[in-house]
Amino acid sequence: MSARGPSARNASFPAADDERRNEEDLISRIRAGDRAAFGELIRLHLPRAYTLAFRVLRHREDAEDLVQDAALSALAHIEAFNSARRFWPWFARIIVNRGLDIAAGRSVRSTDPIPDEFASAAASPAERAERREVLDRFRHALALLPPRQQLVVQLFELDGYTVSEIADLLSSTSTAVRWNLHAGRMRLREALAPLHGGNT
Amino acid sequence: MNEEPTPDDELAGMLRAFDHAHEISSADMERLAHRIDHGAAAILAHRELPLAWWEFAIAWSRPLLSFGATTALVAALLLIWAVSNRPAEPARTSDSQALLNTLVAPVEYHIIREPNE
Repeated sequence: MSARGPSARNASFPAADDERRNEEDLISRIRAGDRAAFGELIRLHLPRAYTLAFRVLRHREDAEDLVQDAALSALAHIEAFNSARRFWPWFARIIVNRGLDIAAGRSVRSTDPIPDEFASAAASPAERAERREVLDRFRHALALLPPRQQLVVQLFELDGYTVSEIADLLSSTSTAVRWNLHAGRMRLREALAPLHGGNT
Repeated sequence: MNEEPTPDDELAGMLRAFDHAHEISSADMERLAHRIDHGAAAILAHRELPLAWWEFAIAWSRPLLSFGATTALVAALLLIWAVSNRPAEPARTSDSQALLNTLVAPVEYHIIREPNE
């Protein structure tokens, strides 16, 4: 079994069949106008929906607004959803599509503070200063990545998504995802080069 | 080329240091859920639910009854108009006059023929 992908991430989730039946039941009730069923379905997926939205927009309030907007859009179009399939991939695609549209239309946000533990790991003040500079470069390089590349790198490196899962999420191809992952990694590694004695 | 890329542990470590995605509290998550619930109420209130067959019949009964009553009224008015505009029948000959005509007809035949014999 692969160390990445749904098996690795969902090891603690309920059995797939039970979860699917529960989802089908909830969606039937939602279509009949059951508000409590919709609340239950959203709460099942809210943590990873917020994480995904944050990955796209990297801003807490924006991520909350995106999740709310995507959830209500899913509700408004629930009749179009094929209940034989899983709800999460469909919901995730709504979040990603809307989020990337928002990200493409706004200026770069760079609000992430430099984590103290990284800068403090250096032995001397000079080294600490140099380390903070490198971290600052990394933060800027991350913020300057195109939204799609930023998302691909984070989903792969932080959340353990496979290339094919990311391609499905972005309605893209595995080739395009590999290219975005490679390009994003290259830019971020350039920012980290001074840590390895590379040119600044 | 189709092999799965190898994770970059150093990059992942750096990304994790700047990752604030999991810093939302459970209270804030619940507050977000309530916001979504509130928005869902408005959408669900405006949903048009599919009708059961009896609900469909009830919904259509009033307009169909009105249509039927109107049709019957129009038909009655047309019938009255048709009857009132029927052309008058010709005058009928009485029975005694008809008998007389039967008797006279042969006599007239002989009167006309006899002058030549």
